Amino acid sequence: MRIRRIRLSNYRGIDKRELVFAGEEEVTIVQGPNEVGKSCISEAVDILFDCRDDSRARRVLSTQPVGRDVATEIELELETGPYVLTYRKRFHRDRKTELEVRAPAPESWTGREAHDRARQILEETVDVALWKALRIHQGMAVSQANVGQNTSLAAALDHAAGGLRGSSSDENESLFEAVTEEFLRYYTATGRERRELGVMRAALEVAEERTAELVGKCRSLDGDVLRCTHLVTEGQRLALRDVELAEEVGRWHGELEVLKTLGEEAEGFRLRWEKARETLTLSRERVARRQEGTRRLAELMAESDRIGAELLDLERSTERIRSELLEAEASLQRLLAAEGELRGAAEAARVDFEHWSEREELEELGRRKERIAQARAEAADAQRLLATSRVTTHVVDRIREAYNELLVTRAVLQSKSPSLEVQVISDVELEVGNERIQLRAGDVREDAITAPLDLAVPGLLRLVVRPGEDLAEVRRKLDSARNTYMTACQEIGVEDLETALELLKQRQQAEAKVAERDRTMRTELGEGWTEALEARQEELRRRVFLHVRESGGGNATDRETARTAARSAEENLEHVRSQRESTNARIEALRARGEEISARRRGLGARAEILVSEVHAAQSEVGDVDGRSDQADLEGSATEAAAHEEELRAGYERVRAELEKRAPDALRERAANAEAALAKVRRELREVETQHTEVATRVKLLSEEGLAERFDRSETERLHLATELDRLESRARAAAMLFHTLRKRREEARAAYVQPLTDRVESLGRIVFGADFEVELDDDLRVRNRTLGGQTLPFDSLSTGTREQIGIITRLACAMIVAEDGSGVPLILDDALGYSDPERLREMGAVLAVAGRRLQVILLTSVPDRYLHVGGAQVVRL
Amino acid sequence: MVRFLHTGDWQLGMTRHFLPEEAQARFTQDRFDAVRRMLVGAHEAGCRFAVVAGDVFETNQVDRRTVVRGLEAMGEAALPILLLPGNHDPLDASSVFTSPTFVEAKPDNVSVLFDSRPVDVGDGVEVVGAPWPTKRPLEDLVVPAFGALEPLAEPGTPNASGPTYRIGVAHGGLDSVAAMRDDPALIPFDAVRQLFDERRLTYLALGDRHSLTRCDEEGRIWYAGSPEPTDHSESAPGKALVVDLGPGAVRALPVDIGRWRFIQHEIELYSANDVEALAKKLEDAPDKERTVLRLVLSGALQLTDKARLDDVVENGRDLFASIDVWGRQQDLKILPQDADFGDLGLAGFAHEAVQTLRTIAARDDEEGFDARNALTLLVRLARCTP
Repeated sequence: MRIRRIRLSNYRGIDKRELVFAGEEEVTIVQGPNEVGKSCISEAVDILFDCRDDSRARRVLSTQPVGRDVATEIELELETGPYVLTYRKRFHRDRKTELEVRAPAPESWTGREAHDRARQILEETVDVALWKALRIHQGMAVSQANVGQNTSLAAALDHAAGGLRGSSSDENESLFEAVTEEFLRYYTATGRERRELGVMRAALEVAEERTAELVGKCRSLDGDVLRCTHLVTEGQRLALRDVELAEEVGRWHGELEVLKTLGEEAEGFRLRWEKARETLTLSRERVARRQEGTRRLAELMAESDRIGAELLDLERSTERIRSELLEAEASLQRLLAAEGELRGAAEAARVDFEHWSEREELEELGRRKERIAQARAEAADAQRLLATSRVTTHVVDRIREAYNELLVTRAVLQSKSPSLEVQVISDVELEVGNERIQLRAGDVREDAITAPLDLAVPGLLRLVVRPGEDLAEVRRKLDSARNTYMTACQEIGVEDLETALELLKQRQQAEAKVAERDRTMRTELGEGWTEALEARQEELRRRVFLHVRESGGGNATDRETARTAARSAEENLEHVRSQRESTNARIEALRARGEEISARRRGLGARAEILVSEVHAAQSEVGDVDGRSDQADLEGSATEAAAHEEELRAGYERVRAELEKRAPDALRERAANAEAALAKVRRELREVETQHTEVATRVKLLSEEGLAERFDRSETERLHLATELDRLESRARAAAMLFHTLRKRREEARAAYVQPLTDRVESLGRIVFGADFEVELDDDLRVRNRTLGGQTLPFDSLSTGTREQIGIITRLACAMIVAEDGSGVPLILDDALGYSDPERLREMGAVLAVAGRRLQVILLTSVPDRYLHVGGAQVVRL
Repeated sequence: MVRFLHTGDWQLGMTRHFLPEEAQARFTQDRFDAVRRMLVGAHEAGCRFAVVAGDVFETNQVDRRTVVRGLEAMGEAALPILLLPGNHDPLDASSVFTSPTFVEAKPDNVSVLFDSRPVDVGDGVEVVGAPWPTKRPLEDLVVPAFGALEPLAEPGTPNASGPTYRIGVAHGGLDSVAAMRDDPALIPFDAVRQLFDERRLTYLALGDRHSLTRCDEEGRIWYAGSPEPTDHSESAPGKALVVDLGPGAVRALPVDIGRWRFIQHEIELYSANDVEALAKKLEDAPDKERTVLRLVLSGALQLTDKARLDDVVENGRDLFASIDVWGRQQDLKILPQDADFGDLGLAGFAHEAVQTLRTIAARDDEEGFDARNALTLLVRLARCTP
């Protein structure tokens, strides 16, 4: 497409303006001041094609000059594809639309048809979207053109890339969308299987489990059915065996009957044989018994004689012992009488001695009581003294200390006091204070003057001597010492130290008495109580009293004589007792010997009696045997019995041999075995019948469940699910394979067709930025990164000027590629390159000039210097 | 002359796993209806009774409802029906014939041949069964069952006291026609013929084969087949036999019963035309909802044609009871061709992707399979994309 000319009338602020653009692929710079209507050019082209002449769209209405009711008219002459045409429209008033097509064939259209035809031609020959995307409008933010989804550009790029993406890329994209949609029926966008497949697999698993369960049940049932059949067969076999064994058992019972008969016959023989043997034994015993009886009788008679002689000896011994015994017993009686007497005397002497002992004890107890009473009385006095006495060692020590202090102080006073010595020349009565003292001549009286001393010789003189003032302190001390002493004495109620010492002595004596009493009490009472002492004393009194009353006090006079008498009586008694015991022992010995002889006599007497009966018995037995027959008869009978016994033994052994020949044990074993086998078979038969009943019942119950048809239904469902799943998986795999293959090829193609545009951008960019300028485009054909001097930066981080320059270069590159494809559009840049420095403007001028050789470039600017460096550009000034 | 119905192998309660749920429901119902229709028709045709030569039920463990519905269908027929336990429903411990459900719901006209004692059905006719005691008997059941029977009197013999005709009812493979020769329970054909020679049998009604089969020249030994087909391997299913017994003559007349069809088409596909021919064939098929179709496909198709084939099959699945595309993947090769993509206007990366996938699709492994599917998907999506 190429715009040859545009004419505007009454368009916004433009009354009338016609612009004629340069010839083949040149750059046209439309320059003029602001508000002259440069930007109206691209707007007018859009309105002309987009809006009908009666449009009330805001952008149409805004074209009418403000305040002027005039018609706005746009006329455009252009070449596009094979068409050369003039298209005009008048808006607002006298509206009209006219289209004149001169090539390839003349056409003329008016009104709505003209609009539609013009639109049709435009869309047929121009990628309108690309055309609009490549424009830069005045004041437009510096950005990259949105050409990524542009069909023309894509086709051109595809063409440039060798047609990898396909000439009809819209169809390819639609196909890819359809394939993607198909893929997404089975998979998520991230490639995971969708739920449908999982659900179907789960359903299949459930169906498989159900089928397996039913198969198991069916097999179990089949097993039971088979088992039933086997049990029936086994039952029949056992029943037959039962019959066979019953017959066998019958046969064995017959054999056992014969055996029984033979046994009974043998037993008959045996019993009779036993009897014959007994008879034989009896006969032989008779013969033997007779011989034995004769011998026995002789022995018994000899023994009887021996016993008679011994009995006679024993009788004599018995008589002798009896006389000795009588003598000893008389002696014993005498001794017993003497012993009785002596025992009485000894007892009386002992009692006497006890009586005297108790009397002594009683007296001693009286003395003890007195000692105790005395000790108690003394202790009581002492305790009373102790209770009233306030004198203690401590107090007495304190009085002694005070007294000593008093003496010391007094001595000090006296030593310090002056003294008055009176030497008597003749007898004289001297008054000292109130006291009259008779003094003899030659007497010398000396007084220490510790206090004023008043001496007078009555009627003669009165002498008062006073101690000096320096003794006052000593006297006060003396007074104090005296007071202390007096106070201490008064505390215990004594006059002086001597009294106190006396009292202390009394106290210590009292304390000693109390201690003495305690000792006495302990000594006299020992561990006993006073009460026990009293009781003992009372008991002794009673016994002494009784003894005196009953025996008159005994023979003794004191305890010692009593002791001597008692000891003598006891010795006498012991002597007689010893004699008596000795006599007793002798009597016992005699009696024992008598008993022994008596026992022997009884034994011999009993034996003699037995012998009499044995002799009688032996005589009787011999006589009995002899009475029936003589020895020869007896032996003849024995021989006869032996013959009979032999006959019966032979009979018994014959039958017995017959029995043995039939092997009765083996016969019985076999019969028992047959019976056991029969019992076993019958037991097995019952077990088989029981098992059969159990299994058959189970089979009947399961048979009613319709297992086979349930299995068939389940298996059908399983098979259908498996088939359906197989189909679904097959479709899913096909969709996945198609999708992945298609996507891979598409990505390869996109990468390939981006390359021509990249090459073109870099080619133009190197004019501006240098030989190492490189760019990386994204899938939307926008510059993602720019590399310069080996440094790669994201597009967005570049300077505004650089971004603007690359934005224009990208547009130019797109437009050039499209232009090479024959479907190019004019590139209109309105007020661009506002951010570029002069150097870059120079280089951008070169870029625009290069582009101008391939396509129509229309530069609208109010700053003509910006495009000063665009070589070969046509300038249109407004 | 005595007329009776010989049928067998109803296998009520049978499930075909390949059938969708609704088709299975139809299949099940139609089998009850076939029994009902057959028995009513037999009565109308003058049959005195019907013998079912084994496999009345699919198994002994059929659903209670199956038993009750089967007996109800039998009860609607006004003729005696004698059922023989076969290998599917043997007289073992789980036998359906002794189940409380069966015993309670059994109508009066139905009886079970529990053993080989002759059953007098009137008009001088005896029916003797050789029921299966277990699923896997280890010997022939027929000759021991029928060999001890008294020979029949000659028809028309004056003052004959015994029966005139005797029908043996048995189940299992006859060694002259069975495929599995080592089955110990096979019925020996020669011994059976001897039973006829000894006048112990007049007619032997066999079950087990689902295809109608005449087993002897005289037409006295027959498999009636199943009244509804159950598998592709069956050659003449969906039949029953109306048998006339007369003096010295036995005549068995096959009657069509079944409504279902198991069809297998073996088709070679090499072009769009072949695919369209198949589409036409499917379109023209009658009674689709009761047709189980197996397509055994081979050949080689380009992607577009394969996509069309898939559409045809998928559409068919909506109409037919079941369509089973059988065979190995390599029997029908999918070969993506330039033509598959030429009209799609794919260029650029889409074209490149197609080339990549075509390379993978040429392989025979799983990835190749996925790649072919991916290309088919691409063709479909490209066609749907405006």
